[in-house]
Amino acid sequence: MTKLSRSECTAILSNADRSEVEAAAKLISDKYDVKIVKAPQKTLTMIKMREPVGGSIFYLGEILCCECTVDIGGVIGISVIMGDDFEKAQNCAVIDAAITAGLKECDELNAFIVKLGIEQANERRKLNGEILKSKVDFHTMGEI
Amino acid sequence: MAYVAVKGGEKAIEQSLKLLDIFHSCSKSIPIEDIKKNFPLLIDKIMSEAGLYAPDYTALALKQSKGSIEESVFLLRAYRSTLKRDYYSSVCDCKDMRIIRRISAAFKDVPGGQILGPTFDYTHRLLNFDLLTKNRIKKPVTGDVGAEDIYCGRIDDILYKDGVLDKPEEDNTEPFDVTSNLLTYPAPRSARLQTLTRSEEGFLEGVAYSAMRGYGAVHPTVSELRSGYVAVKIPHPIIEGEFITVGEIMVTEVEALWPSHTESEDGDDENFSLSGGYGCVLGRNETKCIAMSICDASLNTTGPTPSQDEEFVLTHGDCLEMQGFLSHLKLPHYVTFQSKLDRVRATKEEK
Repeated sequence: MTKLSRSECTAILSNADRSEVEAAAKLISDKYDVKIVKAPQKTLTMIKMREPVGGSIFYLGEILCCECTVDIGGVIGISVIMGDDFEKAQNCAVIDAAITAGLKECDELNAFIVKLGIEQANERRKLNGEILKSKVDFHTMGEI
Repeated sequence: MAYVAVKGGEKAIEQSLKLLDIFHSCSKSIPIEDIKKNFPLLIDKIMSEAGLYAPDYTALALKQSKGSIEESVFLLRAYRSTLKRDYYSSVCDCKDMRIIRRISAAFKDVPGGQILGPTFDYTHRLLNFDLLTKNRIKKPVTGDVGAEDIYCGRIDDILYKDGVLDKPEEDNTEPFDVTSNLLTYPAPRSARLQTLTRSEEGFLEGVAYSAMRGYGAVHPTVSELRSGYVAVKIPHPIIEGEFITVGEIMVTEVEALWPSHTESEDGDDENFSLSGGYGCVLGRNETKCIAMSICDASLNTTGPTPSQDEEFVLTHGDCLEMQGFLSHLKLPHYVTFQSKLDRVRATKEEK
């Protein structure tokens, strides 16, 4: 089973439905006491973008996000996720704490998120196929 | 010049607000999700001008403002100012974009191919009267042939290999932030690009159009236009070396190239080299993005035209600032106008 990095894990969770993230977090919150350190709240993330013409960085704009911090057995879990879904943010923070703490449920949690990722990739596959059908097949016409 | 405060009008203002609802009332309220899905390009335009990626809140702003773009931008900017900015992303790069559209006007054959993706470019501009009566839209069938996510390198890579374009060194200077600092001129490149990407679409396109029609020196070739999803990551606040993916945003990027020309002092030697202009906007707004790349390119040239005047281009394109300044003319100017009238009367009396 692929071991997802934290960045891959959060990429899948950010694309997942609220109920899917809740189901993933329940693997942890059903067994451990979760303390809220910072209740979910809205925040902004500024996007840094590299431009290829001068090689410099500029600010493209901000993203509306929400963040949450929890504590599971003295280990802090933090989430920052696009949108304003507080419940999803809190569940992502629970998952983050579980990963940091290396809880014994992490393998099960990883498997759950890998499965979500495969489902998301399968959904994208259909769309990617349609996109690639619009690839231009050039034919050079004969000289006149 | 003194200002005189006036009172009154509270009841009239209250009624004016009520009239907004009376005049623009409708029997059906459109759900936010439907606004988002029916007008994605409008949502993108507003987000880009507001400088805030928040599709749901943009749809809300559009609904609340009865479809006014400038009011929507105002509402979003105002709301954004109530929030703390706690995070800065790691540096994103559109070369890592998951592509839905990618074309080049410079080369026919490019590694990865030309992918038209969703575009109005090839539509017949005929009204579809079916939409007058059809409220249920059948979703097109997809999925008979699947494919992996689409990534491909930039077309620049071909030019670097060919030695006709110099690869710039990475400059990791922290960007200037025009939302929290006063812009002075000459502006840092980061301030220029941030200002251009937030600019009002029509203004930017007007400036770019003027530059191409002769009020400037740039008529570039679109080396590459790409749209797709870019993952935005932030460094984990407490675990060093690890990252949180905040989400994916839809972005459009354009790189425009044109040959710039230099001569030796004695005029004997001519040199041509490729120069670039850069455009990048939130969401899908290709014309704005092309215009941004032309404006960027034009500002690298010198001359007397508006498109070459940095202060002109960067000062007059902000939707909220221009709307605010023009709208202030609706406010009472009783004293200043009386003063103007006095001068006119005095002149008449002298005659």
